This record gives sequence, structure tokens and C-alpha cells, in this order.
Amino acid sequence: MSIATEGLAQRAARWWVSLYTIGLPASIRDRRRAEIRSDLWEQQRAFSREGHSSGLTALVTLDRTARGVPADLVWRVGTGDTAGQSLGLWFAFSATMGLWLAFLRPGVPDLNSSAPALAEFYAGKGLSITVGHVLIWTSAGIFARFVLRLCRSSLTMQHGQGALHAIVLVSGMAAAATLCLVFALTGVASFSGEAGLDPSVTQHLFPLAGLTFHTVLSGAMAVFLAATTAVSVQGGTGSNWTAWFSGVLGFLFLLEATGALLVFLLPQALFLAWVVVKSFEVSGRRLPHVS
Amino acid sequence: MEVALDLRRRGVFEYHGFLIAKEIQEREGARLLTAHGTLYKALYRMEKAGLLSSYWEDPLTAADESRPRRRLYQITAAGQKALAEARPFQANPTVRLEPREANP
Repeated sequence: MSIATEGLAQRAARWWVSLYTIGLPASIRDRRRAEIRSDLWEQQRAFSREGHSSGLTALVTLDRTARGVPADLVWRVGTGDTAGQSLGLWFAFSATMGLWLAFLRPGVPDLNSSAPALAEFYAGKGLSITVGHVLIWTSAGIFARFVLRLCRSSLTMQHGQGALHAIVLVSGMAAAATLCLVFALTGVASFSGEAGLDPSVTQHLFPLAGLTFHTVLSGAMAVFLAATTAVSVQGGTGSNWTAWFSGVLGFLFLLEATGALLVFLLPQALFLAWVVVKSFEVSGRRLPHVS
Repeated sequence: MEVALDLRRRGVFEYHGFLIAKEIQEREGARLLTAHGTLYKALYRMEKAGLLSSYWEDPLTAADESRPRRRLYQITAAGQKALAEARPFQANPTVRLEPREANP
């Protein structure tokens, strides 16, 4: 073990604190990060004075960080701003209820049925589907707000705190990209064709848009990573590159998440409009004729 | 809290997080230093409860010594009182509170 190992252990500890303090009010977040930074420095100096090796210092740093993870998470959950926690609860509630009301409760009809039978099936569940979609859009709005805050937080980050943010953002992006592809390729197909929606829109346009969006973004990511790696390898000018890296990744994540949401939500909006129209048509047919 | 009071008796009126971790380790003869999460969560909560107070040291002091700024903690009067009240229970954990007599 060497001084480099000690530096890596310290960096890991600082990355962890950067991660679990994301989204906290600036005063609390900055205080915790600065306290850990000071603690790590004091520990390094004390161990050095006592003649301990760099390897032992690194091990103790990692041990203190790892053993503190449960307490960090408990502290994080209890410390978040009340407004943020309420929004989190709203997100969980509206997303769960929305998905249930819009998709699970209505169930899946026999897609080989005739168009009128499909229309009848969905029209009978028009209210549930409408309320479900309103809740899904609400949760999408809350999610968009969270992503915006995350991006703003990553842009104001200081040097040395960026790499783990970048990893988190890349992971989030990968998840968003997967969603984007899944919904683009399969999500809209079942609400098309004979049911009344234009299949050229639902089966071709949105999947194509999703794929194009994803391909362009992946290309941009590859170019960006290559460029930043080249800058850091050449050295000298790489002192702030982690902050820059995660800042730009924040924007890419925002783009990707927005794209995934649009690819999912726009076909659903079309579907909802169709259900509402069919509901009126079907209920109109059921009304007794007044002579 | 005990550590804070011990440090105070020894003339150390303000202490940073790592110093507290080190004192706890030496006091209890522990093999490991208190974990970051455990230590700072406890300090944060005790400060919120008014048992400790804290402030950032002067940046010039830290700059002079080429190190990050320290967050310095002090035990408050309420903290000392709470500790004094807790002592009998620490010395004899089997002590039980007697129920108060009802007012006639």
C-alpha cells in the first residue's frame, strides 16, 4: 500500500459523502462535506505523527466510511427538507396509483377482438384510465423537478467531488436509456391499429424517435468521454475536469430522462385522448333516445 | 457527552470531530475509531437538541496551518445539565424512577 492508496481511500470517502448529501439544502450539505474533509485530513496527520503506514491509514479510512454507511443513510432520510420529503411521497403515491388505475385495473383486452369491441372495453374504464394518466403526469412533473435539481447541484460542485456524481449520473442515464428503448419499441404497439389510433404514429414514429434520440445521445456521450479522457491523460489542464465532466453529464442525463419520458408519455397521451373520445361515443350510444 | 466534559476538564473547551473520535477510542480502549456516519450523525443530533453548539473556526487560522477548516464543538449548559442528570443511571443502570405521589 502506498500514499496513492491513501489518496484513493480518502477520495472514496469524499465521494460517498458527496453522494448521500445530494439534494440537501446547501448549508447542511456543505457542512457535512467540509467536516468529513477536515476529519480525513486530521486523521491522516495524526496517523502520520504516530508513525503508521499509509496502507493502515487507507484501511482505517475505508473502514470508518463503510461502518458509517447505515448511520449516514438514516441521517440522510431524517435530514432532507420537509418539502422534498413530501414531494417524494407524492411521487411514490401518484406513480403507484397512476400505474394501477391506468394499466393494471383496466386490464388487457383480447387484442384480436374487433375495433368496436376494443373501444367498448376501454370506454367502460375511461374514468379510471383518465385519473391514472393525470397521476402519472403528476409524478413525471415531480421527477423532472428532481432531475433539474440534480443537474443544478452537479454544476455547482467543487473540484474533487465530481467523479462519483458522474458515475451516478451515468447509471441514471443507462436506466433512462433502457426505459426509452423499452417503451419506444414495445410500449405503444398494443394501443394501435384496429383500436383506432394511427399505426404509423404509434408503431413507427415513436419507436423511430426513441431510437434516433438514443443513438444521437450515445454518440455524443462517446465523443465527450473520449475528449475528456484525452484531456486528463495529457495532464496539466485536468485539474477541474471531474467537475466539468459531471456538469456536462448532468445535462445529458436531463436530455435522456426528458426523452424517455416523452417517448413514454406522448403515446400515452394520444391513447388517453382516444379513450376519452370513445367513452363519449359509447355513452352516447347507450343514452336512451328521447322522442 | 462524557468525552466533551473530560476534554473541558483538561482545559480543551473546543474540539473537532476527529478529536472526539480519538478520545472515544482511547477512553473505551476500542480497537477501531468511531465511524464517520455514527460520529457526525450523533454530533448533528446533539447540536439540534441544544446539548452541543458548534461553529466554523476562523479561515485564517486554518490557512496558516495549511489544513481544512475545523468545525469546533462545545458542550452547552443544557448539555452539562443533561449529563449530570444521566450520571446516576449510568453508574447504576438498575435504578428505577419511583412514581410520583399523586397530589391530594
